[in-house]
Amino acid sequence: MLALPVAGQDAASQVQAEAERLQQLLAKKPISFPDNPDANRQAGDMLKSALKDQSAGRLYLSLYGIGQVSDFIHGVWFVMDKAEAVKSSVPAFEAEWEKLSASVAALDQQTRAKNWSDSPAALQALSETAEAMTMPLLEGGRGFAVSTEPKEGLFNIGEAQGQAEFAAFVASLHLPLNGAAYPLRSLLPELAGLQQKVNAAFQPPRSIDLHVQFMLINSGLKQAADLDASKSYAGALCQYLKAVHDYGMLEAGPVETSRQPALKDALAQARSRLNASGRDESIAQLFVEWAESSLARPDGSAPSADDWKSASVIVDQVLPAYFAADHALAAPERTAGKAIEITLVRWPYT
Amino acid sequence: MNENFGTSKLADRLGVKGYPAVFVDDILVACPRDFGYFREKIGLGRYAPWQNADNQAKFKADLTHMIDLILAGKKDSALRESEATSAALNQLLTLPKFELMDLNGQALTSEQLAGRAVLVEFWATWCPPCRSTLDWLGELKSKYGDKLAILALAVESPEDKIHSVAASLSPGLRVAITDAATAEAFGNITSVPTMFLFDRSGKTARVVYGAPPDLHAQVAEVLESLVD
Repeated sequence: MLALPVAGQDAASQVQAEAERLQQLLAKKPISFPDNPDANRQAGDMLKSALKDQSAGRLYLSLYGIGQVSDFIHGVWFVMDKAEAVKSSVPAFEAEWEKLSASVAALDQQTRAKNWSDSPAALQALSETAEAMTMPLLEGGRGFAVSTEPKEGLFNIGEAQGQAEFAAFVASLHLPLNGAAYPLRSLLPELAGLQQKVNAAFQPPRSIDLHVQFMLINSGLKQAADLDASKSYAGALCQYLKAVHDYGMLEAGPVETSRQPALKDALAQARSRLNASGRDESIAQLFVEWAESSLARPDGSAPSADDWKSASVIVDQVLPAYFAADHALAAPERTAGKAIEITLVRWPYT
Repeated sequence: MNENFGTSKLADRLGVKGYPAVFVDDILVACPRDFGYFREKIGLGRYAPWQNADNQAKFKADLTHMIDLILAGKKDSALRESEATSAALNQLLTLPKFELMDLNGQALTSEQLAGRAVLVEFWATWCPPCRSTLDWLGELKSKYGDKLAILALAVESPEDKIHSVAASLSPGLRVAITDAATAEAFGNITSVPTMFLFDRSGKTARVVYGAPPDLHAQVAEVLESLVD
């Protein structure tokens, strides 16, 4: 059940309250997941990280973390609550699906009614992305239930509830727009260009050794394209930049120790530039927060090689891609001749 | 384009219940069974395991072949190939039961083959690649002798021409004219050459459609594991 923020609360307090609410729910009803015996501790750790980011002023990153947890714990809770009742009964699954679909549809309607013109684009992006996931998760869960066992579909439809609640929560936040609105637009040319690069890179041995990383990039690109198609351009931009990051991680080398101070300076300069721009740069700020969080270990330990690499990819590739997106690319020319359509039926998020 | 599992009308129409599935236009090229995925038995699919360079290359080649056929205006051929693959994979986990009469008038049944590795080649007199494959099968028979039963089953060909071709083949090959029941039992053979390899327990070890350049190497590799 979604707890809407109290009127008059500022966004930072609202985010903190939501993370603490989920912590309390998790304490009352710990998650138990056979595929991952450590799931409860991991979800708890993610909420602690979200609270640390919030207290460090990294509001968008904190929200992003809460969204991840909300998806997962709602999925597991739904399995815990309904597996016994559903067992192998398709009608019992359908009954649960109908109930949950109605709940998700109501939340989606509430979220879609939000007027984003006075809100930072990063909030819009997080809300749009979560809201766009609800229907594929509902339909995919039903597909699993029909094709395998009814109880196999429960996790995904529970995730849909988690995403819908998160989308509605973000839409309810009281965070004013800082500066002029970001000029959102379709990113189809950029997405097509990056997809081409990813396809070209998918060659053995990397297509074998880095299979999981390719899945991550391709699912991000798919989400971006879906969001773009529904004119959810803030979400599309955010997912595009995430895919730029993930592709960059595939290609970039390690950050030498001698470059680390310069990288930290570059990150600080990027933050200053964004803060002073006079325009809403919140989507770029989300990525800067991500890089800052990677390099600022809460326990004081040194960042890992991947943390450094991630920060360097954000500075060297994601932020340039963000600023380059200010200028619309020409749509790719279609070559004349016969056309065919290749369709890949897939799980939406792998 | 991408479609989400659970909402694909193409997948529904063609009875594909899982993911991944790949279509060119409305022709099914690959489904979960081919990748050994989505509750399928890992290792049995044409492209399984997926994290293998040869399997990825094979998938790319098959997809390219299907695209080329459609762009060349041969959609009917593409559809036949797709159906043949699908039907064969659907039905042929083991050597099916059949009863035929060979060209010498002797009964040729699946029961006679129990306990032996079996190679079944579907061929036609009008199919040039089939002829060269049949000649090579004679060499295999010489090499493996009684350890390997080789059946050359003719489809959709004039009987006199079948006899004419058979006369030139190794006498170790069992040649017969396929009847409708046998063709159906093997998954409705709609393209030639099509070759099936079965192990001594009757389990399908390999199905090869057409005459790929590496046919001999593919088959030799499988036979090494089937015939001691």
